[in-house]
Formats: sequence, structure tokens, C-alpha cells
Amino acid sequence: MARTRAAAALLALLTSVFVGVPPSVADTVDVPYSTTAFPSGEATLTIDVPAGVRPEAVTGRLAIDRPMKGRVVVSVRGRAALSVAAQPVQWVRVPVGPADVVGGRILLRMDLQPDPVPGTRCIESDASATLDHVRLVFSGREQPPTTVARFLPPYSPRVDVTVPRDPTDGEIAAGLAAVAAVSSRYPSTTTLVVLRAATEPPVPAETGYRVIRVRESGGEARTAITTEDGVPTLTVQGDAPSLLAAVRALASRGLSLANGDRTEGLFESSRGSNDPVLTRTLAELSGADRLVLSGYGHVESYVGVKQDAFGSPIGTLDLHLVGTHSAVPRDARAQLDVYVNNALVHSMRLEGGTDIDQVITIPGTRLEGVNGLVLALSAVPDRRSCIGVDRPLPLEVDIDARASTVTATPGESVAGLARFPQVLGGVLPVAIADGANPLGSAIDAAYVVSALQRQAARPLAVSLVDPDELLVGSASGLLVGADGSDSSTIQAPLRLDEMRLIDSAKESFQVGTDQAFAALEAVRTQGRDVLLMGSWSPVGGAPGLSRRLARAVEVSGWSGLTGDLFVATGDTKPFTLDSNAVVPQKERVEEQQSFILWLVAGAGVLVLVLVLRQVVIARRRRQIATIVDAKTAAHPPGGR
Amino acid sequence: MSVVAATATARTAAVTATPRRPLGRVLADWFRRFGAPPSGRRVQGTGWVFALGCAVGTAASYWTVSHGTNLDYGDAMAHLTIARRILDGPNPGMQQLGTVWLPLPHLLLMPLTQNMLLFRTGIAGAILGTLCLGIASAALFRTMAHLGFGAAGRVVGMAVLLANPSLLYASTTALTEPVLIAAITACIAGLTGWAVSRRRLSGGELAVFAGIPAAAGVLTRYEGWAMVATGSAYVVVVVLRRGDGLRRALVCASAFAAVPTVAIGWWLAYNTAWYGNPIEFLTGPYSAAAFTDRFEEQGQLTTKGNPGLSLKVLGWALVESDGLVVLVLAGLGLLLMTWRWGFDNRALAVWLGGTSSAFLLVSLVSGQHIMVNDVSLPTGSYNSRYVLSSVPWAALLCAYLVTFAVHAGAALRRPARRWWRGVVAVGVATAALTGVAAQNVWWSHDPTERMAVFEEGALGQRNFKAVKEVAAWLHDHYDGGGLLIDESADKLAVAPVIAIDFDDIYDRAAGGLFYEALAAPERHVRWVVMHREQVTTYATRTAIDLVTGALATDPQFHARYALVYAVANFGVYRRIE
Repeated sequence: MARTRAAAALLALLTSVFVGVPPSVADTVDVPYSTTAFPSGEATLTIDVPAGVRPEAVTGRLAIDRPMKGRVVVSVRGRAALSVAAQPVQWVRVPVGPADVVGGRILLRMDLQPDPVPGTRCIESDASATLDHVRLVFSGREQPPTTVARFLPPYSPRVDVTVPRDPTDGEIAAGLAAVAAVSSRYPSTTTLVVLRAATEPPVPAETGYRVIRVRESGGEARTAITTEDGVPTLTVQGDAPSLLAAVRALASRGLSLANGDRTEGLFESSRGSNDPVLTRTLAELSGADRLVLSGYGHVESYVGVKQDAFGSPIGTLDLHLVGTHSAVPRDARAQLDVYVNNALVHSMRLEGGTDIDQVITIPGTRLEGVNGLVLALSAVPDRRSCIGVDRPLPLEVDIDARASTVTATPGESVAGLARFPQVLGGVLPVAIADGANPLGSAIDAAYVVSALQRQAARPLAVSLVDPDELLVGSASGLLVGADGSDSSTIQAPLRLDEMRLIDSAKESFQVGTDQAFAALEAVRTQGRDVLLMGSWSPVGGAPGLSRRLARAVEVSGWSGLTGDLFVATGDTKPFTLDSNAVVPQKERVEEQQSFILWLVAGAGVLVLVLVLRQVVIARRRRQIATIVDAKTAAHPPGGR
Repeated sequence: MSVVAATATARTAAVTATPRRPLGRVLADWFRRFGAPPSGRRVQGTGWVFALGCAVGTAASYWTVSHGTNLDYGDAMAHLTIARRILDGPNPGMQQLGTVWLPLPHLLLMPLTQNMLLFRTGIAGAILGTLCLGIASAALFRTMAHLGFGAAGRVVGMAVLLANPSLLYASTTALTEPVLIAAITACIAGLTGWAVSRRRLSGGELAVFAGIPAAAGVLTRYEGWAMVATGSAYVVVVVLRRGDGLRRALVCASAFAAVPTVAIGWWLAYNTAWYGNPIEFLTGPYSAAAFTDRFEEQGQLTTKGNPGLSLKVLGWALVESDGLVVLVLAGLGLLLMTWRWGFDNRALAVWLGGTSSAFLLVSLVSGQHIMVNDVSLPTGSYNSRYVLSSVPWAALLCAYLVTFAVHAGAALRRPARRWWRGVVAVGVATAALTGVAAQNVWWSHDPTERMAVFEEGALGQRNFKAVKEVAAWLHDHYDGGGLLIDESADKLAVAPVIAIDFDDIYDRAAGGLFYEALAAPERHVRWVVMHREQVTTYATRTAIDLVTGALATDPQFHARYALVYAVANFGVYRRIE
């Protein structure tokens, strides 16, 4: 017994040492970015260094997409920190030190240097080098944040939003809004943003781990930063409306003005209009004023185009490219290709004049919820300039991103789950179904909210609404904790009831009629779009499956969801499918019976017409008979 | 001699001196002749309308054949193949008609498909479909004339028929709908002409002008069988209304139904002779019942026992095939016709046009047919083209509406003047035609999404893309020696694309030779085409590839045959020599 107590004491001691205290030895933090270099130009990657730590190295995976001979050089502050031979895939470690940190950041420059073609000075490689899975290795302890503005670090493995075990509606709304706000700050899934009860213990502390505690109380919103169990914690409290406004402000760029550890009356000053903006400049979409493609070989520039950036679902896109290219040397050849989601949509030969002014229409069939627009310059130099003392003249395409635009035409290019979040118009009403566990459902909803936010181009205005607003109202939004009755009311494609999959469904598993399942469904009803999440089991709901499904949404990211259903069953990994792959449920089929009333009504109208016709004919006959009788009476036969 | 010459000169001078009639007058005269009432059996303009239908069908065929879309439907390729097989192949004969489909379309295609060019390009189907469109046009025109519709009504009726993109497309393929529509419209024209004739036509005339078309319908699609039933009832009602008594009514009905009954008898006898079962077409492994059974097992035959869903699915197919504008006009026409004509003989003749639609509704409810579209459960695109037989009915109702509107409009001005009536007729017809045109413009913006027939065609194009690539490659590289293929297997009915002499093909239609080749391919064939992995998703078990089942996992087969071409799951194997 004494030995047991001693072991427990030792365990407690170890726990107090290693749990909740940031490590002081070498540690790492994920950097959720990558960079790609082409032979003719260097690529850069900026890495924020957590306050108080000593950077030691940057590690990552270096991949070359096509066979080539040459080297990849990574330099920091003009120093060649790494030079390796080009290989298809290799893990690299770039040594860095405190001297490389400028303004809290390390700037890496990556240069792909293919060997020239033998006997010439020209480089003719279409390869590119990509550095991803980047991590910053450091030692020392992260300095806890002291201001609200710096509370959320540049990179974080996890941010918890906590609410009381028995939360009020205001706390749930604020908690979900906080999840959305934080997710908008961390667009990569490398940062886990969760909602949990405040009574649950935090996970073991890591560098960048944060907790945001939401608590409803009287008065204006107030914030305070503390460190609890070694985890920096931001407490936000206030009455429900100000609490909601305060947590929404966490997504705001204006948060940098909150330079104290305590604030009062924190709110987002301006969210901007939710009206659709159908034209966006490439500068707005890419964050760069210019897109420069230079050199010979193959060079690309990528711009992400989210449908949500236009405030509504889109049918087609018109890309207006404005820019300049250098004069193409005689006997050199160059072309600019435009790809959308890896499909070639336009190609132009660069010759003659030097202006680029081109409108390219991208049909809806090429579009997805998030679209990858790639401008690719392919150029071949004049062979004669590769030998002797001559050298190739430079070649460059300079796209003016502020003058180049993407104009959307509203429409429906995608269906099912991919319609979200653009159909929400920047507003996300969330409802918890009647009878559902409020906290459990809110936690499930938080995972979905986080995934939706990361797919969105702007912070979503999350609010908590009555379930009827989504079930029978006109709003689009998210309903969680739904049961069979809710799914019937909203006429969901999959009723939360017994179901089985059609044999020909591509999935290799079977869902039997009595197996519990949870589902996230995209429901399009009466011109609006609702996400419905709920579960079914022979004995009622299946909250465990709902949680597993919700977490899978967060992990896979919204762009990983296709079809109109995302389903979790007892023993399989959650999967997406189309509602057409489900054997039509009896209830859905039976609902259609009433349509026969149209035929009955049509027949009734015809019968009515016939009856009226007979009445009119009978009346007319009577009138004629009356007239004939009158004439007969006036002029009786033989009465002359 | 000089007198004759002088007379001729004078005549020439007179002709030359005749002032040209204004264009408006010419059009007015033409319009009047186009709307002239029939004179006995003769309906002025029938020949021209037949030619017009053929011309429109030819133009549509030129477009689809040049784009290759006339072979998008797997069924279209299958019909061509069956038709050619009757005379060509290792096992020719009438048994090649099979029981999956009724035989007339194949028999009509048979002579055309013997020409390899017509077979390979699908022009054989386009020729038949175009002729059927001409017949349907002429029959519809005659029906409208017999019912007393004026020129404006007839123009609109013809426009509804000939400007329907789905029907035009079907008429360029080897699908059976054009033959059925031609048969049904001809039957209705015959019955209408008989019913409104001032002269008491004999039973023989009824049999010729209505019974033979009905028999053609009976041997084309099962909707034709329903047409015989409603047509017979119509004959009985008309005769009884004339006061000729029940005996005369039964005689006339028998005269009408005699030829179709013989046709049905022949079909039953054929089934008995070749399969030992007169209702093999109903109960056999290739029957519609076997086809729908599989859907029912999978819970996808949701229209069965559900009149509401059946009506919804059928209604949506009508909207996407006939067009909402046409359906609204037809609905108004139906109401007005009921108000004006009640259920008199003319109205009942129009109602006959709805026989096939009613039959389809009953078939869906009873589970004999499956139809899948945007509102079905589950959704998809399948068999919506069946509703094309409703187009002539809709055309008649639209024509009635226009005729009524012209009468009503002309009555607004008393006393009615000829020119006023003409203005009203042109105005009403123009308004209706504008609606039809607007419908087509809307369709044209996204035909494969807005028209079920085109959507299914586009789906077929995608589904058959890989196998057609394989078939085209085989056509280019085939150097004789025989081909083993299970054409009944899923998506392998691509004989028109392979386009080689049928004597060289060992498929299920070859009977025992197929199984002999399956057991020892190296002794019979140089080439083998099969699914490289067995089909797992299929509508009926007949879609399982027997060649794959026998050879795909046989090491000795792979030792003797080399895979020389493959796309997706389809492979071409050539004997190693």
C-alpha cells in the first residue's frame, strides 16, 4: 500500500513537472505553410518565431516534382544555410539561430539551381522544388502572452474554447462564435480548435496552446489573460450580446489595438457588408499586388479563389488578366497558360505587343467550392543565345493583380456539401434541436463551424437561433442534434431512421437497417440550404457517433467532403456519399403519395367543367323550349 | 400552223401580262388551303406535311449523325445490332429478334442495317426515324383536319410536334419511340377519319386505316396494346352513338382489333416456337419483369405501388420532354375542349392520344416499367424518353386551344370579316409559336440538364466512352480470325462501332458456337473482347460478362492471348501467333 502511495506521489510529481509546463529543451511547432521554387526564381517563406524561444532549425520535406540534376539552396539573411542535391523527396534541416530572427521572423529563401544543358549556359528544366511539412525547432520556453492582441500566437497546435458545464444560450453562441473567430485566424487544420466544458482538464501543454474561457455575466464584455496549469488563458465575460461581440472580435484585424492584458467593451467595430461582391481583384484574392513569372522553363503562380469570396454561390467566373510581358526575343518562344483546378482553361502565345489584356470565362463545370487558379509561363530560349559569349535575354510576365479581376456570375456550379459556406452569405445561424443535449450538441457544432470557417473567405457571423428557424423558417444554417422527426420536417435526403445502402454503391461496406449511424446532410429545401447533423440508432440517438462524425469533419476539412451526405457508422471510417446511394427510405417514398391529389384535382376540374356544361346546355334547351312554346301559343297550329 | 403559233403567242402574252399577286395574298391563300376541311378521305396538304416532317427529320439526322450523338443510347446500338443479326452472323434467323423488345422496329431496320455504312454510322436508324416522323406529321395533320381545326391550329400543332428537340433527337436514332409514335398517330388519324366521315365506312376500311397502324404499334411497344383497347372502346362508343346497335358496334370493334390481334397472336406464337413459353417476353430472363426485379430487390423501384410518386416522375418527364409551355397550353386546350365538346366523338378522339401516357402511369404504379429522373427516388436519368409518345396528344390539345382562340377572337368583331379572322388567326398562332420558340431557347441553354432525353444521351455518351474507344480501336486493327465477345454483358453492345462482318462474331446470339468458343477460344477466334474484371453493378444478371467469367482468371488463356489494348475495365486480347 505504501509502495502504491509512493508510486502515485511520484506520478503526481512527474505530472506536475511534465504536464502543463512548456518544455525548456528542444521543441517544435508546425508551420502551416509551404513554398515552391522554380529554376528561374527564388521562393521565400516567412516563419514567425514564438516569443521567448531560441530557434535552432527549420525542418521540412523537400520534394522535386520532375527528374532533374542540380541543387537546392536555402539561404537565411544572405547566408547559404543549406545546399543539397536535388532528389525526388528528402527531409531537410536548415540550421538557424537567434541572429536570423528579424522582427520576430525568419525569412527563408529557396533557390532551385538545375545544372545547365551540357555545352550551353541555358537551363531547360520544368521541375519545381516544394518545401512543406515545415516545422520550427527551437529551445527555451515560450513567453506567455501579455496582451489580448498577442494572445493568439502565429502558430498553434490547439485552441480550446471553454464554456460552463451547463451553459446558457449566450455562452453557447459566444463559444461557437469564438471557435469561428479563432478558426479564421488559423486556416490550416494543423491547429485544432475545439469547444469543451470548462470542467474538463486541459490537454498537456504545448507551445502555442491556448484556452479561451467564455462566461456570461452582467455588464459589458471584459477580458483578462492568466496562465492556468501552464496554459495561457483568455477569459471573456459579459452579458450575452457583448460577449458575442467580444469573441467575434478575436477574428478582427483590429484586435492588434488591444494592447493590454485586460480590456473592457471589446467588440468588432466593423464587419463590413454581407452583400455579395461579385468582382474581386487578384490582389484581394492573393494578397499580392503583382504576380511575377520570370525566366525560361516552366514557372507557376497560384491564387486560391473561394466561392465564398463573392458572397454567394457562383455559376461562372470571368477572369480579366491585365499585365505586361517583356518582349519575347527573336527565336525564343513563350506562352502563358491558365489553369483552374488543374484544367487548362486558356492559353496565349506571348509575341508581338507586350500588353496582356485578356478576359477568360471559366464555365461552372470547372468550378469547385475552393478553386485553384494557376498562371503558368512556359518559355524556351533562343538556342544560339545559350552558347558562346551571348546570353538569353530576360523574359518576364508581370500581372497587375490590382487591375486584374475575377468577376463571378451567381449560379450553381456545385451541389451538396460543397455549396457551403458560400450559400450562407457570411452568416451562420446555428440551432440545437429540441431534446438534444445542449453542451454535447454545441461541441459537435463547433467542429463543423470550425471546418466551415476555414473554407470561408471571411469570418462567419455565428449566432444561436431557435431550431424552428431552420426547420420551418427561411434561414440557411446548421442544425445539430437532429432526430428522425427533424429530418422529416425539413425533408432531408436521408431520414434519421432505418436505412441501407444500394448494393451498387461504391463503398465496400454495408449499412444494415438496424445499424446506428450519424449523418451530416446538405439539405436544399424551399430555396435555402441547411446543414443537418444528427444520429439514429434502434434505441434512439447515437451521440458517440455524432461526435466521431463531427471530429472527422474537422480533421478532413470541408473541402474533403463531397456528395450531400457524410456518414459515420459503428465500425467504419466516416465516409461521404450521395443520397442516391441510399435505398430510398419508406418515409420519403410514402410522402410522395400525396402527389396523386394533383391528378384527382385535375379530374375534378374536368368533371366540374362537364357539370357546368350540362347545366348551361339544359338551361339553353329550356329557354329554347320556352321560346318555341311561346311562339306556338302565339301562333297555334290552324289558328289562322 | 400559224394559227397554233399565234394562239400560243397570245397565251404567253396573257401569262406575261398577268399581274403578280401580292405576297400577302399568296400567303393568305396558302394559309387557307392549309386549313381547308377534308374532302372525304382526301386531306389537302398531307403529302406536303409528310415531306416537311421528313425534311425536318433529315436536318436533325444530319446534325446528330455528323456529331455521332445518334449512337449515344446503348439501346439504339442494340436495336441496330439485332436488326443486322437477323440476316448476318453465324446463326441468322428470326430467333435473333429475341424477346427483350417487340420485333417490328428491328424488322423495319433489317434491310437498312445490312449495309455496313448505314449500320456503322447509325444512318439506318435515322432513315427509319425520319420516315416515322414524316408519317407522324402527316397523321397528326390529318387528325387535326378531321377534327375541324383551322390553319392556325394546324400550324401550331405541327410546330409542337416538329419543333420538339427530344422527339427530333429520338427520330435520328434507332430507338423505338419514333415507330411507336408514327403507329399511334396513324391509328388515331384512321379512327378519327372513320368517326367523322359522313359516309358509313366499312369494317374493312377501319381495319386498313386504323387496324394496321394499331398492329404496327402492337408489334413495337406495349403502349400499342393499350391503344388497341382504347381504340376498340372508342369504336364501340361511336357506333352506339350513331344508333347502329351493339351488334354493329362489336363488328366494327372486331374489324379494328382483328389485325392487332393477329399481330399479338403471332408474337405469342413466336415466343412459344423459340422459347416454349408464349409469355416468355413477360417472364423470361430478358423480360422487363426480370429487369425491374433487380431494381425492386435493391429498393429502387419506388414507383411501384405509389401512384403519387409515379405521377410525379411521369409529370416531370413530361415537363422535360414536352416542355412546360406546351403542357400549359395543352392543359388549357383540354379544359376548353371539355367545355365545348364534352365527351363527344371528336373529344374522345383527342383523348385517345393520352392512351400511352395513361398506360405509362399504370405501368409505373404496377412496377412493369422503371423511369428515373430528377424527382424520382433515387434520382438519375433513365427511360424518360417513354413520354415522347405524349407529344402528339399535346400537339392536338394545343391546336384545339389555338382553333378556339381564333374563333373567339374572330367573334369579337361583328359582323366578322375575313381579313379580321385572318389577323386573329395569325396573331394567335404567332403567340403560341412564340411560346414554343421561347421554350426551345430556354432548353438550348443547357440541353443536357434541362431535357431528360438529352441528359440520358449525354450520360450514355459518358458511360460508353471507354468501351467505344476499345471498339473503335478494334475496328481499325481487326485483321480477321474471329471475335469472341459477350455483347449482352454490361455496356458491350457496341457492334455498330466495331463494325466487322457478323459472321466473325461469336456472341450469345451465335448460340452453341458462342459456348464452344468460350470453352476453347484458341480454336475459334483470334480476338477476344471482355471486361478485365467481372461486372459487379448490373441491372439484370444477363449483364454479367460470360467471357470474363470464363477467361479472365484462366492462366492458360493469358498464356495464349496477349492484352493488346485496354481502356478502363475493357480489354482487347489477341491470340499470340
